[in-house]
Amino acid sequence: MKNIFTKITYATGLVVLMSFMHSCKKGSLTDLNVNPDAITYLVTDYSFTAAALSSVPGQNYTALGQGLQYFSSYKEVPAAGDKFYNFGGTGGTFAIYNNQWNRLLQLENKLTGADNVNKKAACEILRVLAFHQQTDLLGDMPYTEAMKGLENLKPKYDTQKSIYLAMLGELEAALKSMDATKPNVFGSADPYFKGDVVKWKKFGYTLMLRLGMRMSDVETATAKTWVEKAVAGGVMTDNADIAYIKYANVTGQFNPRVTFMIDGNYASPGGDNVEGGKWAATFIDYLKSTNDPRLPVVSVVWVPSGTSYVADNTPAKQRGMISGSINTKPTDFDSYSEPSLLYLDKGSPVITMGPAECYLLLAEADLRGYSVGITAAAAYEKGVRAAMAQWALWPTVAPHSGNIATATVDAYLAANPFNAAGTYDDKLEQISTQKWVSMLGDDYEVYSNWRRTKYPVFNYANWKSSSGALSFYPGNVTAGKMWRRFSLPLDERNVNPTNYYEAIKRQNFSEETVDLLQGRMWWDVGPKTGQK
Amino acid sequence: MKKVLLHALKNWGHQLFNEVAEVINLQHSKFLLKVSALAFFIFVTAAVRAQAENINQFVTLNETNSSIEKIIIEIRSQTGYDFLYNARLMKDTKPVTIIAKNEYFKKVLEEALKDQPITFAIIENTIILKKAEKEKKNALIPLITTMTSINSQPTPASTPSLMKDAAVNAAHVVTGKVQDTKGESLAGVSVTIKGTQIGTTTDATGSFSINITDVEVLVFSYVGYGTQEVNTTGKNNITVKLAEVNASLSEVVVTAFGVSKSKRGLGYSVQEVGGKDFTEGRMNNIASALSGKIAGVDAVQSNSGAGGSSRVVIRGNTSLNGNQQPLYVVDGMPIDNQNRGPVTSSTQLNVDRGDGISSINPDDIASISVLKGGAAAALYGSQAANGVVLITTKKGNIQKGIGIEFTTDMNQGTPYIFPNFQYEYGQGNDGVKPATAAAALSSGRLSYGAKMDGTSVMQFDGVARAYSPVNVKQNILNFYQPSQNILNSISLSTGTSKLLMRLSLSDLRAQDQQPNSEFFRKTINLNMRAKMGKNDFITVESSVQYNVVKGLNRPNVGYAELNAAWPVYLAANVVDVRNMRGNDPTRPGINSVTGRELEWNPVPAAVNPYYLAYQVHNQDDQQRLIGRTSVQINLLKNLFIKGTVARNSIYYTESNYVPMTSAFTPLGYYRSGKEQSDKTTFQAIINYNDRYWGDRIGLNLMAGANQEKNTYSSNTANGTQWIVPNLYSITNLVNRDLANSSSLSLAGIASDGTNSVFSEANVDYKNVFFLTMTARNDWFSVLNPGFNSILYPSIGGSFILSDVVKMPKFINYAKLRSSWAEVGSATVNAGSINQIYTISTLNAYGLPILSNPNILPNPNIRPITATTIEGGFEVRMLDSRLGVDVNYYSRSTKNDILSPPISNATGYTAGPQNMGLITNKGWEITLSGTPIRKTNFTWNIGYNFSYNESKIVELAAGIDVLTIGNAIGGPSIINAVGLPYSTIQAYVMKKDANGVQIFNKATGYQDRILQNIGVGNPPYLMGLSNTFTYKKFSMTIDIDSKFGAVGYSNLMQYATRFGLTPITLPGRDNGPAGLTVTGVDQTGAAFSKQWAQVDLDTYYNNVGSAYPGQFVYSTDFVKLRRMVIRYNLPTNTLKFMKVQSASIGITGLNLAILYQDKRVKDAGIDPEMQQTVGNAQGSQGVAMPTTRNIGFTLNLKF
Repeated sequence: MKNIFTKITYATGLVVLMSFMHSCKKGSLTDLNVNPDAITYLVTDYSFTAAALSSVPGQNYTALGQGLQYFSSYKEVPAAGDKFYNFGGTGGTFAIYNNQWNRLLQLENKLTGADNVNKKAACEILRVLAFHQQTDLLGDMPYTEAMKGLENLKPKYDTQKSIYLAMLGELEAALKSMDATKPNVFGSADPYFKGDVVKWKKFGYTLMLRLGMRMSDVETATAKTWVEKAVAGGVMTDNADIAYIKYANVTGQFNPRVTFMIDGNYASPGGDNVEGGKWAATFIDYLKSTNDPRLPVVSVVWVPSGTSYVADNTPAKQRGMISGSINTKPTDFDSYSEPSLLYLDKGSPVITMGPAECYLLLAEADLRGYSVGITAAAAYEKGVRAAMAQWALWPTVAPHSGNIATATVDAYLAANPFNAAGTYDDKLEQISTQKWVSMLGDDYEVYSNWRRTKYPVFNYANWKSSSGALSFYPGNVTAGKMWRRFSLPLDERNVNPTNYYEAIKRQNFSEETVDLLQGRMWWDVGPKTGQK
Repeated sequence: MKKVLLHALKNWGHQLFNEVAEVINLQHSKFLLKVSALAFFIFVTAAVRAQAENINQFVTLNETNSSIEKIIIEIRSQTGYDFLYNARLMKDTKPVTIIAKNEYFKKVLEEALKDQPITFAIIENTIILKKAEKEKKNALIPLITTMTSINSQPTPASTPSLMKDAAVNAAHVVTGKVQDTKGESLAGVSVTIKGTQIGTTTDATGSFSINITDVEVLVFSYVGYGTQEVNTTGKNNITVKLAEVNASLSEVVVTAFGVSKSKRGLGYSVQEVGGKDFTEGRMNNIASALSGKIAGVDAVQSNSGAGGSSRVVIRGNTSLNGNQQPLYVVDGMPIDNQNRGPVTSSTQLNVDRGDGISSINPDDIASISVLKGGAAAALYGSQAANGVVLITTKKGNIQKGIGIEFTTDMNQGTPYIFPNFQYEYGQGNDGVKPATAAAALSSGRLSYGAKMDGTSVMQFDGVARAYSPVNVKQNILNFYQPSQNILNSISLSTGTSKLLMRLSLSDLRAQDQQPNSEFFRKTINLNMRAKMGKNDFITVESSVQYNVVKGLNRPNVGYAELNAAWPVYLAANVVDVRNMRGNDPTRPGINSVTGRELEWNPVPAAVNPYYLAYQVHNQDDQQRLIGRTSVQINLLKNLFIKGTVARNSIYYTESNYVPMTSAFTPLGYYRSGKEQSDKTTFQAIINYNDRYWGDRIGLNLMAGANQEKNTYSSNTANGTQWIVPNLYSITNLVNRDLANSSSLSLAGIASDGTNSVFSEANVDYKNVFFLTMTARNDWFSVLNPGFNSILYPSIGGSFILSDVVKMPKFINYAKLRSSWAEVGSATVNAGSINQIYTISTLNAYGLPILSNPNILPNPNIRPITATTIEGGFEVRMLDSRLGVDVNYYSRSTKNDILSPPISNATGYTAGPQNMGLITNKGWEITLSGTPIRKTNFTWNIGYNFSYNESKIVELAAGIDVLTIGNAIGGPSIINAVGLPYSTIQAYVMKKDANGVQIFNKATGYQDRILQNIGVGNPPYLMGLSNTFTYKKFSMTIDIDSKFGAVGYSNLMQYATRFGLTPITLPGRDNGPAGLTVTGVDQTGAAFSKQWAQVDLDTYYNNVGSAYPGQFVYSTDFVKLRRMVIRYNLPTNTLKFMKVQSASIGITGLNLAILYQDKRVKDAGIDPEMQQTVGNAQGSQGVAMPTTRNIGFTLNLKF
């Protein structure tokens, strides 16, 4: 017996030993740490596609969509910008750094050498595009010390002015480096222009124009310089120059903005609109007053027909809901206008920047006396035409094709010509109001433009008290005022407190919302507020 | 028929056994392959034997020329004795003629075998036939060795031929009784014939019966009592008294690798809890039941449903924000305790889907011992950094036949804590009652209306009802139903000293308080231990556990979304929740006109509770298989090697959907996920022990290697917008998002592993001085080579003071102990410290896109170390009736691996780094006593107390605060340098130096300031257990208490915002003028502001939401946690059922709150307000009511 067991013992011992030797073989432990769902190297084409797709302007449905009186709600809690019932949607984030900028930085680090100048420049354009939108909401932000990883965990905040000047300088350098004889911008991996260097340059110079105009009130001379540089470099002039992302009604290619809106609000015609998204009276009334041909494109009323509803886009039937006035679901809720199915089509595009905005900026530049080679009146007209034409990019969804006939545009312009005889303010109001209509959906840029120019002037005091007097919504948290900035991310209080508090102090606003978010951007100056 | 079957089975069994014996003898090499067949056979035999009828000593035969086999069959059938023999033996036998009338069977057998080459021996109820003397070297002998021990107790097997005299000497039966010194019967005492393995055990009455020869000596032994030898010559009936020995000498506890060690030799504190504490007055999760049981162990419960998870923290939180929970080890091998508990701040589906430990059947637990310190845990390695909870499952008992144990336990839970709201002013806004259904819907959750007057007022559903109070208590009782837990479990066990086997099955069905919410758990557990060969050469242990857990519509906790509790607690105070059911009885929660969710308030996220319970669905299923096999080979008397392999496999699926009628997600929503995870462990150890220098020095050396590998894979499928209603499949979605995982750090597939070698040396001098040293080296796969290895040691010592120094007489035993230990670990996820990029094709052109993770890669991460030093003493006095155990420990954790949030302006949201130093220092005191010990009455008291002081000594350069959780409604739970672990930080109203309120001039609201209000983890823990036994009655009363922590109640915050709390009453009875607040502004100038009646809702909404610090309460409590009254039924009355023991009991859980803070009492909330079992302790959302559970338990043993 003993013999047998001895053998068994040796055999078992050997097996155990073998299995350990096998499992301890060099590298096997490290192999476990390989992520089977990821790669460890960067593919520049794919990374650039991601960057371009992330560059489309976002939507801020409650705080800005309602605050800029595109949309209106009868509800309280979701009514951040309608009734200022709370500060929902006004919390700023620094996601720009770790999302877009980090991606572009890693990409640019790979794009060395003379052959990559165009690609690198395109990355710079996208970076400035993303960053200016953030600083326009948050004011001072880390810039020169940002993006250093472990080397600087607590970057100091730069003033908005210095950020603007830095961005403009960097943008100019990038644009100057572009060379049409060198390889294009990622070819088919570029969802904007399929690599077309000329179009990228126009995109970049139009961005320079936007940034230059932003400082027109606070640094007039510098603004003039940059605006004129931009025009000299060549801005978007034709609808073919437009920078937009074309989505498709195919799973995985849906317009993300629209998907969000449908899921939340526009599930079924005549439904509840859970977050309260009817077109606001301010918006609809303005379009009606100017007989705007865009009204039947974007707006419908759902008319009950038996057990279902029919979309009616007859302009006369369109009716917006008054902002900040209703806090109980009105009995005639169904009769208010909603976005059309064309507007809500999942295959609809998102415009990042286009000639409509460009011409309207030029009109204002001329108004301010900058030398831009076009008169305000001419630029205004071209801007309107470009804005009308861009609806043709939308898919045809009944009851409207999205195509606005030239004759219709002519008639609109004839009825609403540029107010050449008006005062400076009249003209500024007209241009800025046209921008509000033309850039529908680009909430952040419209918000910046409104704060800078103070036009259109919004009325937030629509609450009818028992005496019949109109006042701000009684449950508002901002004393009836539209916010002029977003709060800095509160995380910064923990992770970068010294610099955070310094930035707050320098800009003279409270770390949270107790100042009602009335602190102004560096470029937002003057006694006017843009609201009644 | 039954008898025939039994005989057939027996014959088959015997034959199989003999066949197996042949094979073993003839084909040695196949031996191991046959071990399992043998084991199975032994079990069957033992089982069959249990069926044997009463043994009869006398036989009547009339056989002429019959074969021996026929005679044997006859004797067997008449007496009930079994025969065991090799069939080949019969080849050489001759037919015999026997005529006997009522003759003693042995005589008959002797007669029959007189001229045959066969002798026989009788062991218990078995007669063994073997070849006669001259062929003694027959290989059958070792086989008989195996057989003889079926019903005997272990004694050192020193006699190779056990059978030597058994058959020759005239045998007789000795019966008797075994008692303790006080005359109480002792059951289960081992009675063996000296020098053999032949023996029996005493039954429940202390009686035994054994066949012996005249000259034999019986050995009586029993755990905790001295061994006694009794010469039985000439005696037929004896009574033996065994003396109790000092318990501390023999007390053993289970330590690392499931090794039982004498407690006196341990240099650290270990506490053990018996299985009964988990089965009487049971909680579904055994880990939660540890609350109050063991000093220094904080077990947290949350009201998250029947299948909820647990949080157990031993001696304070040691990781800055990693896993704090101990390693759970079942029978020596780690199991996966993956937690699927709720989180603090989620606004979506946030349910508690349990943890690994919640799938264990409490009835399978023999004992749980908690290894608190580093020294205790050093050998379990990295995962044991937070301590170890060692669960020893029940094995079979050494007993005759099959032991059957049946337990049924039922309990019902009903709410007993209700919030105190105001019922003076009813639903509405601006001091006005709602005039229309639309107005009632808008103010569905606002109670800022007019004074309640009982008039008829329109409600949300268009029905006018009295404007009168509907107490939230009524809404709670009307919506919720009593919870029910019904558990049935049955176990079969059998065993001999060579083989133990136990099979258990259990079934738990729980109906939660929330209608339609259920939880099921089924478990099967098979345990086996077999000792084989001479001197137990090989020991095989194996267990298989298969648990199936299913949760249906688990209740949500926390925020409003998908949470039924939210409206039940927070609807306006004139709304009867039952009206939210709607008027379609077949579709609760549906508006029968629109066919959509019946809304009761303007915020769609605040769901209709009936809609949620009956229309919305969530489900999860988990199957867990835990298998473990070890083989120990005793190479020498004092040298063994042992190999173990264990695997824990979990297959988990979950899904949840919202139908297309929902108000919040009007088009519907679906999510499903699958996970497969496996943990595989291989282990080999070699152990040597001996005593030297005339037994003065004892030495035990152990060395081993361990390899652990975890693999994980998951898939999720999400989507929105159903195509057709009532088909809840991924195929029916318009928008689909198929992905393996949303998180980059833990993608769809991951694996990690740890290789380790370890060793331990134990030395003792005269069993008085003890020294233990361990060393372990781990290599972690999750860290990069060069940084991934750590060697950590431990050293511990103890000595028995009472054996060295002359102690006062009243002290029976005194021991001092101390230890120092280090444990290393690596807590990062697989594949998370190096730069990676992920690819996806979700974009406009079908082009691939590459994503960068937001985590700053840091390839240079090193392992964490936790160092513990502890010391203490243990004293037993007054005839061992009072025991005191005092322990002090100090533990520090450094180089924690954490991904703290960093300023996003660095380009990253976080980055892993080695950081931090946390210390935990504390005292643990355990007292045990027996104030009364009378024949019929005993009273035992157990008390434990612990104090833990935690401190964040440092975080990382440039990081002073780490947020570990954000509660809904504002408070943060932070770890900040200089503060204890988990400090609750929240805004409170700011006062000036004179205590005058400061106001913000611009808004008219109170100025506020961020304040650290308290800690979320209680530093003081206490437990008191009393057990009274009177004759057949016993009563256990457990009191559990925690002090020194605070918690934030999100319920009270919302209730204040909505005008439900009395805080919101001032100004309401003042007509249109409302409330005037006064104080100073920020410059110190006098300030006053009038809030008109119409603005009061706005004002109080701000009061509720802007200063959440006022809803932070002291969570101190003393609770009557558990009470069990048990009656042991007299077994003689149940004899006809062959019942060995039976007990019935009445159980109660969470019976009363004996102490709580006044503010908590006034608010009407449970002081145990934890929403999560995660690290962010100290916040509670809106959850199901806490219940008081009353139940019944029945236990039967056959």
